Amino acid sequence: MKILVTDDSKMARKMVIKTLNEDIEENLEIFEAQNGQEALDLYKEISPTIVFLDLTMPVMDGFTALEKIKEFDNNARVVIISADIQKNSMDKVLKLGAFDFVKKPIDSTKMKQIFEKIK
Amino acid sequence: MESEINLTEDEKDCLQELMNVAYGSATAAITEILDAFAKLSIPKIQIINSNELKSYLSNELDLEVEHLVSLQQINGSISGENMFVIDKQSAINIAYKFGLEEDEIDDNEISDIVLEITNILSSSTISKLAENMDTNVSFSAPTIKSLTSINQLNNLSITKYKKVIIISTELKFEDLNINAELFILTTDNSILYIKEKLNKILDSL
Amino acid sequence: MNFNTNKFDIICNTLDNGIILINKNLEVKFWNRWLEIRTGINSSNIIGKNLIDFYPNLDSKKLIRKITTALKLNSSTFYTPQISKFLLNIELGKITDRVFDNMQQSITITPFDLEEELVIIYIYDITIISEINYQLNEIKEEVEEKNEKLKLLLDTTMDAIILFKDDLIIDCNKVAIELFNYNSKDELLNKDLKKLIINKKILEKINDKPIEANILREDKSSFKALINIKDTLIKSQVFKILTIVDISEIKRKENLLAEQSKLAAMGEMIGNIAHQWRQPLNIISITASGARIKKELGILSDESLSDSLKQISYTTEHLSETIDVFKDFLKENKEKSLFNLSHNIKNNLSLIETILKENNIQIHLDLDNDIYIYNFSNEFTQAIINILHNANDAIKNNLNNNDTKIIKISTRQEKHKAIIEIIDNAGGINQNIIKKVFEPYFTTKHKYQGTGLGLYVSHKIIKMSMKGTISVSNKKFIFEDKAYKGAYFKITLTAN
Repeated sequence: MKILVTDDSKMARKMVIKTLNEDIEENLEIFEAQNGQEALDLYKEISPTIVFLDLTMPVMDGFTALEKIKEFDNNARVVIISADIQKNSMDKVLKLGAFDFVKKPIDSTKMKQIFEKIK
Repeated sequence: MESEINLTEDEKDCLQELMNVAYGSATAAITEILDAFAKLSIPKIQIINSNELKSYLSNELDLEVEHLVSLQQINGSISGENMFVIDKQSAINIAYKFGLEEDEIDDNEISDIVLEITNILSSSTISKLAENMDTNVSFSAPTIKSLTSINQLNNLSITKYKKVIIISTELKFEDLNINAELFILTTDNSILYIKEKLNKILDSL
Repeated sequence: MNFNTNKFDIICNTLDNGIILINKNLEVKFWNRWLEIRTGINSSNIIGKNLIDFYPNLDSKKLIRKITTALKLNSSTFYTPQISKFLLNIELGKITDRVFDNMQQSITITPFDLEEELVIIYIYDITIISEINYQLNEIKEEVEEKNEKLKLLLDTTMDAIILFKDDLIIDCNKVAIELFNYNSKDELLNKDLKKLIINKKILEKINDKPIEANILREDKSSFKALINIKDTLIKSQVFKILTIVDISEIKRKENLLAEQSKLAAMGEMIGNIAHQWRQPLNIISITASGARIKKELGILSDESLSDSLKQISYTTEHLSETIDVFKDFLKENKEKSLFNLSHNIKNNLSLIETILKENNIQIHLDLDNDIYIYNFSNEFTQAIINILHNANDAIKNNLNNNDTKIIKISTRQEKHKAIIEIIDNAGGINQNIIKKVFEPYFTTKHKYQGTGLGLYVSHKIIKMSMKGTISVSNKKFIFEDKAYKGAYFKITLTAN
């Protein structure tokens, strides 16, 4: 399974990857992107099963990236992982077609839940 | 010892992430309590020499108009001070947001509200940070001052510390003209403690 | 949640603080002993009831807001003593030394049970601290006011005042900063006394009396000043206080004054010369004309011609002498010389004899011809001339044409002192101004005579330059069996 993890913070990416490796049994091939633009480009190249996307990033932020990825592939599964957990933002991303909205830091229960949803 | 009181790139990155998460919760808390959409800008983290603190702050703050400053002590393994700075007019606007009528608003009320916000911000940001670092902190009651010149902050003579971490953020409300800044100041020992914790987290990744 | 455990009951009821367990609707669930005693409200009476029923004036809106916040945050909130003086109005039983009527309180609200929405309100009695704070504040304000007054005083004075501790500057007033051409007090602080007053001799000379000195600034400019240093003891530590008065302006005026008086004297002198010469020139003219007319008439004898030429020669010599005396007078006396007192005085008289004759003033001399003085002769001349001018003016103003007009000059020697006395009969100097006649008129606004500078200069010359003494008084005297009254000048100089 191809997974795309997007965050401008290396630490944040590592944390998501750690949870993925620890809690998910499937064989995962993990790709990393630093901003929305990179995520969009990589998505077009590798068509991952899930995209984990942060909201606040330089060059292209999460909202825009989400929109563009959905434009490219309506069935894209984009999970927003963000520190910004205001209802405002939540509503916005769900409207844009996000698969889920998770508060940072993502824990194993939530991670497992997401993978359950895919099946 | 001095060269150790500094954060490496990785440590900074890690702290930045932790602060982002903490501030995310804080924003949500404020929004809920005040019933207004708040925005906390992405925290800026810097470590400077303690003797540069005064000049740093006097550059950051535009003290042309009257400002209110509230200081709250942080106790525990992460110790230091929270400094919340807001200009008078913004504070008055927040008072409206708290549901106060125009004739109810006087200097005392405004001060009380600023103190509350300081408390809210401290609790949500630093507690969260402590939580993520697996440690505990407690807060003393905040105190408040009116500020017209940087020289009024007398307790900034922290010459017994060499370095200070400044974590600064701006608080903005969507539908109101409110501008305020929060500075979290911690000192040598705390910095070292934070380093330790950050490294623990980094190692586990 | 069983909070009736004995242990905790004992703790809660012996604690020296108020503890209220309360919910978001302000219903009281627990009220500890401390509160029972101080409020007089029994626990059994208030539990289950609303706090507002007992304290209707309490700001319930605020309290509910704080409780809600504590619960939402799951963290403590506070009532800051700076802002809120108390939550529960508890009257104080103190009788003496009261600052406050009610207990001053610090309040902490801590979440207890998030689901049941319960919080604990802790009440701390901080009355004593508040009182101390209050009194400190009062003292602080008093001190600040006194400080302001002192500062005002120090900055309004004309003197520069500098305070030293261990010879380093620890404080100074505004005048000091400006006087030394600095921009701020910081530039002066911690400077060493020896760096400020570079001339060591000045520091050695000052002993309790102020002295005049030239002070050098850091920027190499200098100014004349009156300077004084006093040692003082504050809390058994030695401090020095330096006061400096800038007298460069005064000095400048003095110099100007001296110049003006010199010019005035010169002016008068030139007037004198003109006067003096008129008659001799007349004589020469008449003699020459006379001789010419005689020649034309053919009656000029050799003897007559010889006499006329002698007369012209003699008169011309006299003119020449006058010029010499005047030239000498105008020359600045840089050196002292030994001169004969009588000779000098007679010369002086010759300088102004025309004026004196015009006014019909009799000069009576009583001079000891053996007195010699080693001093500045020209300056002495100027001093005497000024006094004589004054006498002349006084006589002109106060006496009529028919009156007898006298100026008496006498000299004598007593041991090592030469005494010169000049007296006129013009009636004396007005009692109001006699003490001030030696002052230049523009400081005292009196114009005794002439330019008002003459006597000032005389005084300066005798006292400062010649190191002698001069005094004036009104005196009666007898002359040719008649009594007269006038201004009496007495000059004392060291004789050789």
